[in-house]
Amino acid sequence: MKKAWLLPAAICASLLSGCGLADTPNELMRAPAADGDQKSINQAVMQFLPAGSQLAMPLHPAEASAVSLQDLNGDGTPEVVAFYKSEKTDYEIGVLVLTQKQGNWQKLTSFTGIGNELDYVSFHDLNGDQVPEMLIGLGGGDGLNRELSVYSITDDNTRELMKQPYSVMAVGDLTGDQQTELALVLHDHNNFTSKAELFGAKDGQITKLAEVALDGYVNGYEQAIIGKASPEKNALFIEAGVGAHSASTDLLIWENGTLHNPLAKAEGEMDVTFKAYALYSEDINGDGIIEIGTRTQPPGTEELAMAEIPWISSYFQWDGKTGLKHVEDHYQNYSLGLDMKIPEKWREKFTISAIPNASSHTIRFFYYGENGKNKAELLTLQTIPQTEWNKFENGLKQKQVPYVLLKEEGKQVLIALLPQATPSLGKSAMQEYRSMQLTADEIRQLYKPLSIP
Amino acid sequence: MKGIRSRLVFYFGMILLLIVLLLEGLFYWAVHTYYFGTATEALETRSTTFTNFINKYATGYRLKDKARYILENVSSQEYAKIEVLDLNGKVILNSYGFQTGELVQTPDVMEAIRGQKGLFVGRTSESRERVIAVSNPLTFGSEYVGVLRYTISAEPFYQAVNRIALYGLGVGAGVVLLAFALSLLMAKRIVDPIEDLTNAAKQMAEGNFTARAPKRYDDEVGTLADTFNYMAAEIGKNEKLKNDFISSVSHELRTPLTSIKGWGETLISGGLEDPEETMLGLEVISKETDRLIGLVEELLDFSKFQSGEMKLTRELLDLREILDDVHVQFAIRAQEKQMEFQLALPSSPLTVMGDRNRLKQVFVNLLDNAFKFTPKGGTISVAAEASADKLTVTVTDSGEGIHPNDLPHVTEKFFKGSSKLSGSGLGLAICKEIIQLHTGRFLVNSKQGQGTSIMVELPCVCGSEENYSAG
Repeated sequence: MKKAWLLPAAICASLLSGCGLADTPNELMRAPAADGDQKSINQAVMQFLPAGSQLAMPLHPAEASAVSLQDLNGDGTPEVVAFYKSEKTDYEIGVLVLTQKQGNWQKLTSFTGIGNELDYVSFHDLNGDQVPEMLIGLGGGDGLNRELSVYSITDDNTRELMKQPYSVMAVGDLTGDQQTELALVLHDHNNFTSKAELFGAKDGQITKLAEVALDGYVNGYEQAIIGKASPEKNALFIEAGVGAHSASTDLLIWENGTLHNPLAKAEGEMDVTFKAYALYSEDINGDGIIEIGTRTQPPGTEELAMAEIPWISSYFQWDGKTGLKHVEDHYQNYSLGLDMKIPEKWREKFTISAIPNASSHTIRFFYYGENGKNKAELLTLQTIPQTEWNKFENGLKQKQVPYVLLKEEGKQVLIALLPQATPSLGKSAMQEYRSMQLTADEIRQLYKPLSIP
Repeated sequence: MKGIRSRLVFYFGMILLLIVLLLEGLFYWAVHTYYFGTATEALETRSTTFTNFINKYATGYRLKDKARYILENVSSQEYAKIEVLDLNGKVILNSYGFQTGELVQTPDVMEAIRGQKGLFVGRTSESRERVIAVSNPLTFGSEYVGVLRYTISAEPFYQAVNRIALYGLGVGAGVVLLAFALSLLMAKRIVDPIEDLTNAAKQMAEGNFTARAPKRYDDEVGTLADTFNYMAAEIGKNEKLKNDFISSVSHELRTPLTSIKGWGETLISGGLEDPEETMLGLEVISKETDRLIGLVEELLDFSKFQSGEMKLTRELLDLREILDDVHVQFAIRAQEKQMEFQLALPSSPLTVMGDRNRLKQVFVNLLDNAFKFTPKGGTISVAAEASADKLTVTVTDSGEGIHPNDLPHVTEKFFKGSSKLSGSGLGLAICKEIIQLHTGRFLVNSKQGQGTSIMVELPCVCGSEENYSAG
């Protein structure tokens, strides 16, 4: 094998010349071609933006994005709408609209609005011409007022159809006419007045359909949504902050051409939607109807400070008249990201104790009968740091403690433990206690992770 | 025919092809590792650093705000696609400013949702483009809230690696071709001498013993050529010997025949009037006929040896008897030539296991030679002695001796030496064969001008005297 040296030499040669043959790995790095459309749109947008500008993300709603495709002039092809902040000033938000002509993106229009926060962006047909308008809400920052502008683009002309200040807003069909309306809620800090206005299409124009005064002595409004309040009726749910940390919900329905709150309290009466801590209305049980939440204090926690109380979230639906009907209770813990639905058989017969700890939390549910005379543990939820989980799990297995693993991923592992010892209870209390006990499967069904909004 | 050349080229080529393929595989693996390793590492570093930064300083931001913060802080030079995903794998935002809402559930995202850094090299579900993706978990408070994902296309790397591998393959093919060419050359160097040898052998087979194989290299084939040439020389020599033998034997046969014919014709033409002359003629004819018989017998013996048909009829015998017989037989001849002929025998019997007639033939032959080559008045002695395991009979004469050059060849067949005296050249060769058949030794010692001494050693049958006496 006299020629064995030839091969390494050849490889060396090819390696040396390799520098000339191919680029280094770093030179070859590029984004996937899969999103070529998005990439080219992004490049086109960047090309039309003023130098040094940056894309701006709308805060609301959740599905809004800095660049979106939307047919704004009704020509059947989508336009690109991009929002940006320029380098020149912090108090201006720009809007850039590009349209596709002969395969190239060209600037259709661009304009700026005063504001340093892009609060809201959506595209809805408000004037009934079947072409969506641009709804852009700009704000001055946290807690400051905002202003909504509605733009329409027809024949390459941009027109501002309306401009209204608001605190919170909602878009949806409130009147039940299958058309989208716009609801604006405005709170005036200085004059202690609040109002809700409803805008909708009338004769091809955006017109104010109704206005109603709200409690002016609130701290502010946090959220408004339009959704079903009952199978037949849509409503506007407005969350208001009251006092130090309390909250209440206003329910507005469309009736006889006006907005009206069926739950409005009479003088001296207790507000049925009052809650010690804010709890936004949502469709908690997935039946398509929005529930209003309140906070209920578990029995036996009267001596605890407000912040330490393990509040129960109680959800109600409008009963169609002037009251609420109970739907279900939940125990929600935001810091642990857990939502435990309270089983119907526990209702008004249980209490909760939450013991926060440096590394792990323990939440215990008790049977609570006859004003605390009969008390027995029903369920314990416990978090264990992921790092200690293996050790802990081995300990449980060694002690042969049955447990239900609810959440394994994340930094904290969540398990449910069922009581092992039989409590000393009277006969009837024992019977009641037995009927309230849960199986592992029930626990799994009741638990769901609570996503942080 | 599958010659050495094609086999050599084939094996050599195969070995090199195998090596080249193996090294090419290694090379591909190394290049692949280099490209993907570097790219992955770079991407991981960037992704992890940015994630750590976000998790460390943007702690107060919720996922949506983090996404906004990320979008607003992504470098315009960023070549990777950056995506922010929620815990379901839904794309909240990508670095192009879109919220596509698509679900990404590649292994890297799954890992990141579980809180680990995830790496994925593979095809995306929708475009079949190969990508490299690195995902890291985003935290809010103490919990994971989303995933930051960096993606780059892997296609340029595959292209680069394949291109380099292709170059490697080209070089490998070149090496293999070169190897083929070189192995052809090498095969030629090996095969050519062998072909030369074959040609030489062919010539020899056709009878040309002067043909010689050229020696090209001092290697095994060179040695073979040498040996071959040596063999050719020997065959040539033997051929010459044989020719000489035929001519000498023809001569030997013709001489007696000539005198027999001459006398026969004389007798016919002269009639049988002169009884003296007739007697002389008949005596000559008889003598010459004896010579012919002797010659023919020698030739017969020789052919027997040649064909291996010579069989000994062995028996226990006393060598002294044979020597005595021979002594008596040659005594008259010694007297005629006025030579001193001595026989020295031990008193104890010299027992051997042998063929009486053959052994006698040996000694007759030896003495015949001795008488033939010893001039008048010379001395011939035969001495026998026994040692522990062998008997030694030495026949010594004071004749003309043998030339030193001829000495190694005197026992060879057909060798006649430089002496002018007649003979078939087979006598000593046959003697030697017979002694060797008796598992004995036959040694010739001579000094030119002083005489020759021939020593015959035979194995002794010890302690067999009683048996012999009894028999």
